[in-house]
Amino acid sequence: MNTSPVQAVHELEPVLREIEHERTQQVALFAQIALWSIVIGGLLTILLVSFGFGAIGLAPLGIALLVIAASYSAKAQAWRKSFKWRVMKHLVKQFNPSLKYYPERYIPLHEYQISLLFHNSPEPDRYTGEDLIEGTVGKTHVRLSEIHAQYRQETYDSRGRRYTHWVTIFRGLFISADFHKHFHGVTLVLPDTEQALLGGFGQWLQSLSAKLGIQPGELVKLEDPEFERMFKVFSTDQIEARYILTPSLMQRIVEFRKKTNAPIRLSFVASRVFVAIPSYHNYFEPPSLFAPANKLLEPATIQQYFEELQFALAVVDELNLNTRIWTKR
Amino acid sequence: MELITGLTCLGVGALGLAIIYALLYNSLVSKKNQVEYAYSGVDVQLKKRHDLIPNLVATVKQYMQHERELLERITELRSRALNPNLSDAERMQVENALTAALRNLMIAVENYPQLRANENFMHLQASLNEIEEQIAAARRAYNAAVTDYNNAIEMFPTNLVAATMGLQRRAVFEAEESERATPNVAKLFQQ
Repeated sequence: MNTSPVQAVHELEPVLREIEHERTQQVALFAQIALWSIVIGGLLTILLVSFGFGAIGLAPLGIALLVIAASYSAKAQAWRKSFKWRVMKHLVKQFNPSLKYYPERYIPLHEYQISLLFHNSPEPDRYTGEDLIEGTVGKTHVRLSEIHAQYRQETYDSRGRRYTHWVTIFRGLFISADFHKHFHGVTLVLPDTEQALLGGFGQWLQSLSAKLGIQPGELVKLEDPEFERMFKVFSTDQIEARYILTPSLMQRIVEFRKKTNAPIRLSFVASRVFVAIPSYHNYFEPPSLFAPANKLLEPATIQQYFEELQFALAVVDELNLNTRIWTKR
Repeated sequence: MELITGLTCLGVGALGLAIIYALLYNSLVSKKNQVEYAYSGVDVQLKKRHDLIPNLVATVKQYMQHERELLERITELRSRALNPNLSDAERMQVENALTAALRNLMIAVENYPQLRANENFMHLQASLNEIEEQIAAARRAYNAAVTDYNNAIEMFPTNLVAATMGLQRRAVFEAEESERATPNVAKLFQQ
C-alpha cells in the first residue's frame, strides 16, 4: 500500500466533500418526495374511503408507496454509480498507481472458461460481474473482478407446469495473475471433498475420475499432508505439477486458504494462475445512502476499502509471484 | 449332470481368478513403468544441468580468481557424472555432490559484485535456478511414483502377484544431509 487512509482522505478531500454534499441534497430531495407522496396519497385515501369507495380507496396510498420505492432505488443507483466512478477509481490509484479500475467491466467469459476452474459445471447461461481491477503489482500482471456465473435449470411439477431456477455456479472474486514460472500443461487445485469423507477410497475415486476423463490428466499425489487434506490436484504432467506446486507454494496456498476461510480453487493454465474465491460479500460498494453525513471523509471508511483491495490483491504476495529468479521475467 | 455343474462352477471360478490376476498384474506393471518414467524425468533435468555447467564455469572463471579449486571440483564432478559405467546409486551420489558444489559457487558469487551485474551470468543463474527447481520437482514426482509402487507390492492382494513377478521395493531419493541439517546454534556458541 502506498498511501495511508488519512493521506488518501486528505488528497481526495475536494471530491469527497463534493460527493457527500450531493448525497445530502439527494437524501433531502428523497425525503420531500416521500413526504408529499404520503400526504397526497393519504389524503386521497381518506377522501375516497369516507365517500364509501371501500378497498379501492387504498389505491392512492399504494401508488404513493410505489413512487417512494422507485425514487429510492433511482437515488441509490445514482449514488452507487457516482461513488464508483468518482471515489473508488481514485482510491484504487491511491492504493497502487499502476492499477486501473473499471466499475462496470468484469473478467470476460472466455477467461473464465480457459481457467477450467469450473469445467465440471454446466456452461453458464447467465454471466455477469463488476469491479474490474487491472494492472501490475510489483512485477506481476494481475486482473480481477467480482463475477457471478449461473445456469438455468428447468423443473416440471406434477401438473406439467414448468419452473425455471437459476443455479449459481460461482459467485465471488475471480483473479487471474501472471505466474512466475513457464509451463505448458494444465494443473488444477480443487477443494477435496471425497478424500475427506472416504479416505483412501475417495482418493481412488479421484484417480478414477481422471482416468475417465472427468478431470484433465492424472491425479497428482503430493507430500504435504495438510495441503492434501484440503485439496485434490489434477495435472496433465506429474513433473510440471510439482515444478509449480513446490513445498513452499503448497504451504502458501494452505495459509491463503485459511485466511480466506472459503473453499478456494486454483488453476495453472497458459502460464497464468487463476484463483476463484467464493464469497457473498459485495466488494467496493458505497456506504448506505442514509449513512451519517460525511461518512466518506472518515479514515476508517477509507481503510475498509483499502482492506478490501488488499484482500483481493493478496494473491500476488501470498503466492510469492514477485519472486522472479527463474527464466521467466 | 452334477459333474457338469461342478466343472462349470470350477471353470467360472478359474476364469474369475485369472481375470483378477490379470488386472492386478497389469496395475503393477503400470506402476513399475511409472517409476521408470519418473526416473527418466530426473535424468532429463540432470542432463540439462550437465549442459549448462561448461558455459557457467567459463563465464564465472574470468571474474573469480580465488575460487579455482571450487570450479575445478565442479568440472571434475560433471565429467564423473557423465561416466556411463556408474551404478545408479553412485551416480546419485555424484549428482548430490554437484548440487552442493554449485550451491557453494552461488554463495561465493556474492563476493563478486561485477560478476553479479554481468548480463550473461544473470541469465545463466536464472537457468540454473530453473533447472534446480525442475530437478527438485522431478525427484518429488519420482518419490511419489515409488511410494505408490512400494505400497502396491506390500499391500494385499497386489503383494501376492508382486511376489510371483519378483518385484522388489525401490528406494526413494533422500534429501541430502546438507539440505536437511539445520544450523545448530548452541554448537556455534560453544566454539
